Amino acid sequence: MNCSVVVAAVGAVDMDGIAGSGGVRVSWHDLGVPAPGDGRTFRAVFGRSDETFRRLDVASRTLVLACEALALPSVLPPERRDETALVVETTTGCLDADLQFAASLAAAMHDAPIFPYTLPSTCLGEVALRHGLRGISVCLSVAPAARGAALAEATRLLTNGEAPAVVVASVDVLVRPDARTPRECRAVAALLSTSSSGSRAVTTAPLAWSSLHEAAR
Amino acid sequence: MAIRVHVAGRGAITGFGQGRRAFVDAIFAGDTAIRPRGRTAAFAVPTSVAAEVPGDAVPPGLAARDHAWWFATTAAREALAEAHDPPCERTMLVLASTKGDLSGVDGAGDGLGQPWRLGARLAHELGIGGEVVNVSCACASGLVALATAARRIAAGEVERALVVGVDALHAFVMAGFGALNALDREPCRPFDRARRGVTLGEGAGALLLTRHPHESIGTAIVGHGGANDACHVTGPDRQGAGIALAAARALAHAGLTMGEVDVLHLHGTATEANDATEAMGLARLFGGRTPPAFGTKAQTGHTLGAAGVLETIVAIESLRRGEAAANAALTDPDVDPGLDLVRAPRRLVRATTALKVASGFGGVQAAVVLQS
Repeated sequence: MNCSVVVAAVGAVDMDGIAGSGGVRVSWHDLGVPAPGDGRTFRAVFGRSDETFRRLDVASRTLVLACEALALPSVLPPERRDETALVVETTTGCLDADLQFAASLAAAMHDAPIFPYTLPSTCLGEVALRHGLRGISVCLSVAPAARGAALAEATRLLTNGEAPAVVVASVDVLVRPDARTPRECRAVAALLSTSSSGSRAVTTAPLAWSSLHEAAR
Repeated sequence: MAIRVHVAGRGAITGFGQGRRAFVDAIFAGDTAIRPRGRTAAFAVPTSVAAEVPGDAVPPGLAARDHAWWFATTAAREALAEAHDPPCERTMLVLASTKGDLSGVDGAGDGLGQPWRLGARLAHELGIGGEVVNVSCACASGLVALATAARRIAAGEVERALVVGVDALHAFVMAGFGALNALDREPCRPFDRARRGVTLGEGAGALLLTRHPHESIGTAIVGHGGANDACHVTGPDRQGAGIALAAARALAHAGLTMGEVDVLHLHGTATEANDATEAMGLARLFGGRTPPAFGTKAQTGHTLGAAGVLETIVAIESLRRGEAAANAALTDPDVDPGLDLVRAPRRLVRATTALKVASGFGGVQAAVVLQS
């Protein structure tokens, strides 16, 4: 298939706040909570409730907020969601949830609810179920030098004709060994489509996480 | 767009020991590697059994943090050897694993449960010079990795890709499945009325894929597909819609119809929900009656990130032998009868096309179509 890739929406969560092409722009300072928010953050930012948001691990919460900032209802028609793919990459993986579950084992208090979040595909699933994305799902564990692999894979899915649109994201939660220091959370998300789909580009910057992050802000 | 990505080499290390031959012979003989726990006996988990790689298949004194690396290396070397050791400096590596090496999360080390670290170590060990991609899609990792590699080869981006699926038994993971009440205390019984959950296993499977027909063992990946249940992160769609969608997409990708599938290799974890919904979805996809279908987790245990690659090796063997293996431990089927569960080894009427499916946490569904 001969087509070019269009960035139809962008969203980001970082230590400053949440921002996206859907119009969201809010700081953690204004919200009065540290990144990536608490059980009330979703409603505070997006004006509606999310029944399970408060139960999510830190990485899932970060990724869900970044993808919500894409404002998918306005750029991705429901009839295209069955085929929309989801590609996520992470370097830090689930280390935060891993350490939490390991601590629960050490205390002989097995924390069953956190265990599924020790798998990075679980946070991908949290996005899929919220937006009804039933296309190909890929979760990549990437070395720091290989960051951007998800963008390349998403582009392949589009150009091969395997998906008409792809939600692609990176998510990382840096765990501080000193528990008194806050975690550092960052996620960047984008909706990619083909030029033939009629989608309008929100940025023409190079397809790189840094450019997409900048475009979201 | 139909593709044809050839299989050039296979390797395995499982509860049956080192080597692909020992593995597939045991599967088709109806043996099981699920035994009372030995190396993992000290793990505080609610089951008496697991499918551990035998102690004589690993170097004496191998540190726990090195098991996944050793399994992966062993399977990879066997696959490369069958393919007459092609130049690794131009080969891509696609690693499939749920947690890679958990050192640093539990005990000292720097694995940190981040599969890319294991991928980097494996690539260095094997002298892989091409790109290294690490897939972590829970129990669907192996098939997603095969699709990832096949996509690159079909596009002409690489000539060869080594796909390695691996996971080692670890207290962290076993306790997690235990905490979810997903472990059977006894050996697992996929698709059976008495099924109570998963038995975990460990090991590695490796497949060397190539674009060159003359390097083929006679089997090729001709299609792949994926989907997401998009309904729950740990439970399947109640109608099995996701796994059926992935299978349908893989067949469409291959340009094949349902009637052209000769044998079906199942995910079959032995959880109540997985087996029921997998059967329902696939039976509906095939219009009420599937081709001969079998799964092998009652023999290997659920090897998680290794499962997709190991079970693809079994599906390849099924085509080569012209036979579907029996579903071990199945005495009283309790799923949609439209799933044609093989009860005793069965000769295939035709052995040209196999469909392999898998599911993972996060709603991830994947399928691969193989042809001999």
